[in-house]
Amino acid sequence: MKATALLALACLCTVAAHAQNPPATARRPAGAPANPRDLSGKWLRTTPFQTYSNVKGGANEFQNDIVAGRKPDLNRDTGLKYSEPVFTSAGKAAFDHNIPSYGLRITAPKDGNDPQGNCDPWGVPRMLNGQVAGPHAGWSILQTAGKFIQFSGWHHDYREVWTDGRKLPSLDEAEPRWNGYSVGHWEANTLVIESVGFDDRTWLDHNGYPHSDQMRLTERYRLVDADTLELTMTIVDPEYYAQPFESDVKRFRRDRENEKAFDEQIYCVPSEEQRFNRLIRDAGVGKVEK
Amino acid sequence: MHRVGRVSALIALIAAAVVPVAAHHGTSITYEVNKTITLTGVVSEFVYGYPHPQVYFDVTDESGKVQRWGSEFGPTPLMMRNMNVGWSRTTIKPGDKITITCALHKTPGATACLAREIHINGALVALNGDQAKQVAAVARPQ
Amino acid sequence: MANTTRRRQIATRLVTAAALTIAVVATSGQHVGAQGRGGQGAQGGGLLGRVGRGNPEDALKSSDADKRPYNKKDFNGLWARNPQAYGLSPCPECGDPGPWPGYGYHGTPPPRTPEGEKRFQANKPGRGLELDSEDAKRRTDLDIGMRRAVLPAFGNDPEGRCEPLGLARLIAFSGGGATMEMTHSQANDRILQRFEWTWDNREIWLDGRRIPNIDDYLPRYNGYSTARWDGDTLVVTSAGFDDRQWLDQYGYPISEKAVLEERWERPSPNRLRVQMTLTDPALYTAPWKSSVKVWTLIPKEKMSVSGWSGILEDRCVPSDESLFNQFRDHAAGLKK
Repeated sequence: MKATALLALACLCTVAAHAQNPPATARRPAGAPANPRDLSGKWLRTTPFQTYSNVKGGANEFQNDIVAGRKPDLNRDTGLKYSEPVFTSAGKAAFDHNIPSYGLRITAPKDGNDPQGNCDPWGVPRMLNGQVAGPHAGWSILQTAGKFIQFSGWHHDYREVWTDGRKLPSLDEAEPRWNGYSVGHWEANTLVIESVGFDDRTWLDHNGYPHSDQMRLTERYRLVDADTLELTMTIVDPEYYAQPFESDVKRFRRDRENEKAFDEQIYCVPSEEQRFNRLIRDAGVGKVEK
Repeated sequence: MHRVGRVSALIALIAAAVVPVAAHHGTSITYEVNKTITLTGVVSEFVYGYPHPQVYFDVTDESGKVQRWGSEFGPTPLMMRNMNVGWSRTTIKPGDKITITCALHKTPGATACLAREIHINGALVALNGDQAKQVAAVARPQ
Repeated sequence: MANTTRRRQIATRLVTAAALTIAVVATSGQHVGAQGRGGQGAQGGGLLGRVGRGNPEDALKSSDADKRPYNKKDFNGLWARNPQAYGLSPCPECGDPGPWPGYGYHGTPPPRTPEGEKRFQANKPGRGLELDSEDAKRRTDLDIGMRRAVLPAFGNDPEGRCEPLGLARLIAFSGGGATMEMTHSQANDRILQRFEWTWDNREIWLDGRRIPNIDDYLPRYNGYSTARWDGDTLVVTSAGFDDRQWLDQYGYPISEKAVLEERWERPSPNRLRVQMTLTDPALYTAPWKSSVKVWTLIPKEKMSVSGWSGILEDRCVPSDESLFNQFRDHAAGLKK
């Protein structure tokens, strides 16, 4: 699925209200949340990394140079702090096998192997990174007693987090799921989610960082104020990473204007995707299509 | 050099300020962001949908040979609506005359490009906020 | 027991489908005999009313023995139309006649407009009686939609390519346990419905909003839904349907101009039911009421695999499906 082009529309952070929505509320500094344990709402990424973690190239900061055919100066000061994971040899091999359309290894999608191009699910944590720009740079949460459902508008996908006290299943018994199995509990006002049982065909992010099916993911969510949510993640995956692999500190702002918008139902429709690729991205060469 | 259409192809080198911000999936890597072409043709299809809206149009050269081109837009429909640039599914229709300036696909001979500016039946249709202002300025009574 | 049954269900789907080079269940003989409960349903349940457990009158009688008080407007829970898959007692009113003719929109299809007929003919389902078979010719009591199946390899059911099923088809469902979950938001401004097959979801808005102007919003597979209470019945109105979807597995078409109404009720503690009405004058010359679909409430512990309860992540994933389709197409004799 191709991400939205934001380009010269960066000024359009303010989204006009839909005809069907309540009028946009006037902006004022957000105070403390009414309920620090209610994460319901629509959340858009504000921190720069669109990857799982703060890897070099993860904020598209060298994109313009690369696509123009210029060799980027990877040591220039971008204002960002970086960290790279430590791969095992199996992890490095998996990383090398993945050919992404983002980051320092950016390749045209037709020459890459990003599973999203086939409309395969993103999986978790990829669907949490906010990789798509603009009004789709995030996800929403529906929180009820016993569970928390997190939706990605892009791809029309969702995952369940169970807060009903159940334990994670044993990997011997549970078949891998694209979005894994997740349970959550509160530690003070931080929601801690633990997940296992991931299908290893998904990528951690659009820069092609891999994970094995033994990955154990921990996410920590907390409301910084009524309109700001902070997320940090840790991956323990000794098959691919020699040390626990930490994400950057991600922040999301509440998208009040669109919280009650109709879901756009942005399915990745295989026939649409394939046609788009065939006729445009893969460069249909001059044929007159009947 | 790829020759097309009755209208002479304008290859313009545009200053680097063309794609300032976040790259979009595979878009910038697929196209020559600093080189554009201007084409005139007749619309055969408008796909106002995902992953990106696309317009397909037939360009006829001097010898009468027809080539079908396809061009994608960056923004998806929600953004276009939010930007108040006035798009809907019927903004472009089969049979409309289109003049389009777009960034060429990197594959030589490809008849696919990334839209930068579109005129339908002589009128600019905005692809971004700046162009929307231009359109609004034209529409305002003198 | 329930665990292994669930697992087997999913594995069985793949194995059965793979082994099935003919997607048609041509065993009509036994079904005719077993069914005739007769009687016309409230809206001319008619042809299918005679075919068996889809009799609308049966659907309105609940076999639920639980008489405890409950909240009629609370639809929260895990619901399935085949409770035996979870080790529960049968619910005779819960299933469409099935496995054959199977889960469909049912009711009595009204005559189609010329455009409706054109689109109907273009859709080539893989389910139902095989086109031009003796059974298909004989069973004129069934609508032609259910008597024209071709091998999926020669058909064009979007389900086979993992395209979204669309709302009416998700509700009618295409086989198996027909399992879904309903969740009311805490603010009670919406109900979320999630479907096990395809892992799809849809929202029903309860905040009184109107259906959007379809030129502003793209037609989408599940349309846009808004609802109000009519006594204890939730009346849902949806519009803005992407017309690439099929109304059900038999390939009835639906247009972008269609309006679908669903009337949901919880007639007893363990039963949820819905009847749909499709108004689509572009394709059908009259409104079309579906048969009544009934679900039974499945306790969490019964819908569990390895201690993990909830709907399964039973997705249609293109790379999985394309491998399967190669096998299927090869078995159908298509060259690769």
